[in-house]
Amino acid sequence: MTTIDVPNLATDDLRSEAVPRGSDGVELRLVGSAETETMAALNRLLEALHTHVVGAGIREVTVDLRELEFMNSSYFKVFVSWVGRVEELPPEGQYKLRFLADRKKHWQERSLGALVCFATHLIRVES
Amino acid sequence: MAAPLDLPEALLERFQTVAFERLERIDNAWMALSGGTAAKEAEVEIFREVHTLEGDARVVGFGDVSLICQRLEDLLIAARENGYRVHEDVDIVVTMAIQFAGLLVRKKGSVARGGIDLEGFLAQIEQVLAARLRRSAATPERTPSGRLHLRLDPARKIPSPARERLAVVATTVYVESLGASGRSRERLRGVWEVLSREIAELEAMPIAPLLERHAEAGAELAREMGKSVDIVTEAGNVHVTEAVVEALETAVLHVVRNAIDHGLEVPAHRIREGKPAEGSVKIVARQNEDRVEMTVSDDGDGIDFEVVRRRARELGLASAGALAAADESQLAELLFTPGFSTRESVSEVSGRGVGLDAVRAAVASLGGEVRIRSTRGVGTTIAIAVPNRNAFVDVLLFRAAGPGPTFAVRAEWVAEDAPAPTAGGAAPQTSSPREAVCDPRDWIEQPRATPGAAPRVLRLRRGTSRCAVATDGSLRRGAAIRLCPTPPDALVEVVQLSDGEAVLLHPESLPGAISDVGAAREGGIA
Repeated sequence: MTTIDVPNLATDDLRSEAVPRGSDGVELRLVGSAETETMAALNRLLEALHTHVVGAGIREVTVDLRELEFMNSSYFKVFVSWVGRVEELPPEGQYKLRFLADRKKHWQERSLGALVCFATHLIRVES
Repeated sequence: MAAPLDLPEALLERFQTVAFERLERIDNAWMALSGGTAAKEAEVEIFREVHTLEGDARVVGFGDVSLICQRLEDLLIAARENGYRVHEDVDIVVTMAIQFAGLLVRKKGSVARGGIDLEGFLAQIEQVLAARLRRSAATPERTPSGRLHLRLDPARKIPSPARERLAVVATTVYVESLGASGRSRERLRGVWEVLSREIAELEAMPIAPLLERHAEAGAELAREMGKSVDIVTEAGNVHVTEAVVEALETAVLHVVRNAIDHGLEVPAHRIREGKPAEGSVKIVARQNEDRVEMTVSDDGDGIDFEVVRRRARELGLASAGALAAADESQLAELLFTPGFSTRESVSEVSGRGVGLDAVRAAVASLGGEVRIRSTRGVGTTIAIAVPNRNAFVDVLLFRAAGPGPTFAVRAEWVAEDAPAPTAGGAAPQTSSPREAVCDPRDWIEQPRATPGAAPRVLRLRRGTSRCAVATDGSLRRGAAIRLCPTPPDALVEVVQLSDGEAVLLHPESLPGAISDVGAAREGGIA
């Protein structure tokens, strides 16, 4: 499987992998636990992914959080920033964000439930 | 939500800049509080910032931001009662609420744009608060001091069309009571009194709780600043409409804060000046005909108008000559200039941000005005006057022939009164074959006066519209309070006079009551 050229995380706590999905999609998988120390790195990853997605004209990014054990509220703001970057694009250039969540992880339900309210036209959550 | 006010672009931009700065401080304070690393001041700071942002947002018409701030305050109170050891749900929604407020501030205007699900987000906050109540065995929200957390917004929860429908129902009960007797009348009367009281509070709410709330906040601010103050409020039974509450809420917030921050001196300074160590702020509201007049007076240092003159010169607000010749009232007007401050540095309390210019804008949007009076070394008074028209109406009062209630029409109808042409009960002469004479009882669907009565014809004129009403000849002017405002297409409305109630007729609503006769005649009682 080919990977996308973005600065993936590979720490003891948190790993990421970004791969193409279909002809016009990308999947980003996060595994582990998001501790504060990796927040800046994840933010850089999301910025780079955004640049790649926009440049390649990709229409949807799938974010798989099912194996992400925990992410605190401050950390979760990186996704809010990401949504903000997508909304700043012209309407025809905005891509969708599809989150795959684990229903048993209550923090995901609460956090993603709130995130959807920021941009219902861009975000959907599947669990 | 209300649409954004037509405010200057510069004021909106400044609001956005200051709002982002406040949100950043709120976010940092929350992280520190929830993480257990907060300094003692963080708790006071976060409440102050949220409260101020709520007021600022309301002034500039960002109703959605104001609403999020209100819910954020509720969450913070819940968190405070647990010593900020919060369930992760509370942490998540507080953090996201701060981000959500930032999103709304970024979006131009106050109406939630496409894709933003404000209702959905608010519902999540309600879920978290409800869950928290269940966990803590459902007690009323109380601050650590034991005071109930009052929120003066019942009218905002019931839309205007729903309030009007309730008013129509209540009015129907009242009208039925007029035609009833004995126990039935008593029961209907009782229902009317309960309904009208509740609706009156929805339409025109007492202003006293609003002033008391800001007085408490002002006292707390003074304590933080090492000042001592006694804040007294006098509002009597003044009731104001929702629009006036919104304008005054922000005006009082900023004016009281200014009085504490700029006006009052620290105790040691006051003693040196021969004043009591404890400063005094007095907030007075009164109804003056169709206006609410409010003053906020302090016994602080007063305005140094020479500093104002110098600062205006530095800012280039007027020529040196004009400033040299300006008197204190003219210099006081400069304080309303956007961004004007005599402070060398801004504080988190005041000095920059949405200030007196926003107060004036909010008040002016309702046709009101703000003035400043100040004496150096003695104190400052900010005087605000806002029309409170919707609650009051000038009326013409009359009675129908025979027993019955007092009737009224709005005083925009000009009245003439003419005697009936015969005493034999024949139909009164009318000015033209097309003019029909109505009986006021027609509007409340009650039987007309019995034959033999000699009604007088009250001719009403408004523009080219005419309406002729049979009366007993009585006619007087008065001022009435609109207890249950009904929509214009309703037949009647009940209003409160100084000596009882009256049935306010909507002439246009009764089929056949109005005739259009072209140019209006001269004369009449106005």
